Amino acid sequence: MSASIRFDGVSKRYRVTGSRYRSLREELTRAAQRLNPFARWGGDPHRELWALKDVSFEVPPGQALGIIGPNGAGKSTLLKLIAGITVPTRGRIEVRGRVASLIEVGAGIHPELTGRENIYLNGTLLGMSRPEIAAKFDRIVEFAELAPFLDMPVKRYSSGMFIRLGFAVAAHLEPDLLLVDEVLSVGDIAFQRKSSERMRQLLQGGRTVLLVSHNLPVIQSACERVLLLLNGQVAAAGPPEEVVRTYVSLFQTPEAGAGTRPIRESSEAEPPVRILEVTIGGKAYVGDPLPVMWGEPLTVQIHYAARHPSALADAYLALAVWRGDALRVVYETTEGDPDLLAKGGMRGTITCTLPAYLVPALYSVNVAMHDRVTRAPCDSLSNVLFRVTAAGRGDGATAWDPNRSVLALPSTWSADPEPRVAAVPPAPLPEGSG
Amino acid sequence: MAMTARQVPALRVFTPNPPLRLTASLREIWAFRELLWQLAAREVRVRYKQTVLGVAWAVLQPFSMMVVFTIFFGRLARLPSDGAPYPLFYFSALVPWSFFSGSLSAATNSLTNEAGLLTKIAFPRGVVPVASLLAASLDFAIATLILGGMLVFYGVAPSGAWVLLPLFLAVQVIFTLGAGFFLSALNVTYRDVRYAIPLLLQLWLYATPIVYPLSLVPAGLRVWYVLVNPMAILIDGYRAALLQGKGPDPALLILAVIEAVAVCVGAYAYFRRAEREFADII
Repeated sequence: MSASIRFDGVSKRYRVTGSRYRSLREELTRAAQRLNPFARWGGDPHRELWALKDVSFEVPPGQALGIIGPNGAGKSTLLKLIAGITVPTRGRIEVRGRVASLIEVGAGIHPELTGRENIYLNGTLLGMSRPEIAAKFDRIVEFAELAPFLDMPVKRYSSGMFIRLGFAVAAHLEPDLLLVDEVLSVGDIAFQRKSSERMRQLLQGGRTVLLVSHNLPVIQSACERVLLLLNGQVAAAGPPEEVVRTYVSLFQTPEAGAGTRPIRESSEAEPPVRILEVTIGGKAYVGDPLPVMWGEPLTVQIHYAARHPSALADAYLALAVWRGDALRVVYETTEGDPDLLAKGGMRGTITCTLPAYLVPALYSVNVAMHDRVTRAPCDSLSNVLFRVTAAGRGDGATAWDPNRSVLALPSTWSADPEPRVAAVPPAPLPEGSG
Repeated sequence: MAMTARQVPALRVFTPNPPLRLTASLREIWAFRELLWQLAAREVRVRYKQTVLGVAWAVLQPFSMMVVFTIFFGRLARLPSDGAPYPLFYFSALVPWSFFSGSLSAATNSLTNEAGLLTKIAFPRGVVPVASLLAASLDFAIATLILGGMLVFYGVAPSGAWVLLPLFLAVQVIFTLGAGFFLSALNVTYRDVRYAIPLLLQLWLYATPIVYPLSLVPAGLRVWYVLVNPMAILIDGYRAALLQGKGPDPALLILAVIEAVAVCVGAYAYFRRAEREFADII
């Protein structure tokens, strides 16, 4: 049987410009420059970024394929190519069947429309027909737990309701091919449980599934095969345990992470609040992991610029620390303090300090400005790397091992010749057991 | 329909330079007509939310322009009106013109306004500018009702030339779609278009026989005039048919039809080429 997805030497290039779109004036200047044979200097101001380089693979029908890799490895680009949102720069992609993506849940929900209107609009956008939506309408509403609020404009919804609405519509598509990009952690605990249950149903339905996640245990349990992407190339493909082991081991070598760049992602050309730079211990990240001593304060500073004062009241900042990109060890937000950002003014600095009680290893700081209503990130800077080192415990038999624990708390051990706690006598065994 | 295609999963191929497949892509837009309708309905619903006058705004713009034109170009400047009362003379041209200018400026900004959708969801991109034209047609329908009332008020009797009106409208829609496809795609790359459009439409208004009749243009120049501005023969055509029961010069009308179709096909080909990059550069 022919493959569900076939990538044949696929490459994708993005042009990185100062501003995302070109102005006519800039274009005319450049056209004039091209005409001038002496204007060799200057060159093309567009830098190129190859998000994917010569990627080939196949997914047979019904297979669940996991895709792992550090941020910026090209995972999202790969999903966008399969969904047909963007086209490859080189190569050929074949996709068989109806595709549904749980990539950007809630995209296309309009704040001025009611919940009911949005279910129809969003369903249509995702490719459902009107009778199909009508047939599933009650199930979607029940799933989202929004029955009492159906005729209220979505702008009056809480952030949780908003996310539930988006997920509920997307989760009721019945595709041949399902693309999932880590959307399981939405809503409150009860809804998270419900959505992961729904995901499991979808995964078991014999569909072809592509699952992008940083959650390696989930990848290992849900996928039959895993693809590891590094710098836009397929670095490994095969059984989950094998590929995951390869991936994790990459982050334990001392040279890991050298030369990687921070990754910037914005929801729009000019997000309401832009993250300008993230520094650790006052130092800017220029491609080599910044050193942090174990136990000393880890100071992360976020420099930002707001487009207008009200943007700050509508936003909150989230900070995550990932270990070797595979495990999220810290997640802190300013969501509980709505006034904090405004105190920094239109251009300011937010500082987060936490003790670096982390097992010596390579870590990545990801910072994102989120919209308070949609909870979606509007601007983010990720992959700012630092390495925790500990004098004396850095190597040898006493070294902390990232394979064994996440935290390295300041513990003390002691020994005493006399037992200080009264020994509890063992309970008598009940008759007939053993 | 999408549902019936599930038995035999359709194969889709993505390559760097896919063929334009103009007719096939139009069929795709047709297959997404439900979305077309939903987006248009959304635009209409959202447009007049939290306004006091609501739908009255649809009529207020051409109506107030009619008042201003009647005072300045009619009463003060005494421009010729082919014998028609000034308010009727101006309004019968302003109603189709407002449909053109309103839908063109809405279509131009339609793609950039939907940046969130274009970067996140795959659907035929052509749906977006077409939906904004569809949404603008509601304002046109309402303004047409007012125009109908004015015709009754001034005692204009229906004539045989009125059968031409749907033809004018069809040509106008084809031309507007073409211009909308071109300008909306151009605006994705060059945001200058957004700022140029109000100016362009302002100048275009005076380059079209609205405050003056086409008869004011010397007969020998009319071919060139219509060649540069196909809207001229349409706008004057509506008015001459409505108020005088006269049909347009057939040669000029055919010229406008050919132009509208050529613009629409050419612009859609440009749109199809440009749409591959929308998600990357918007």
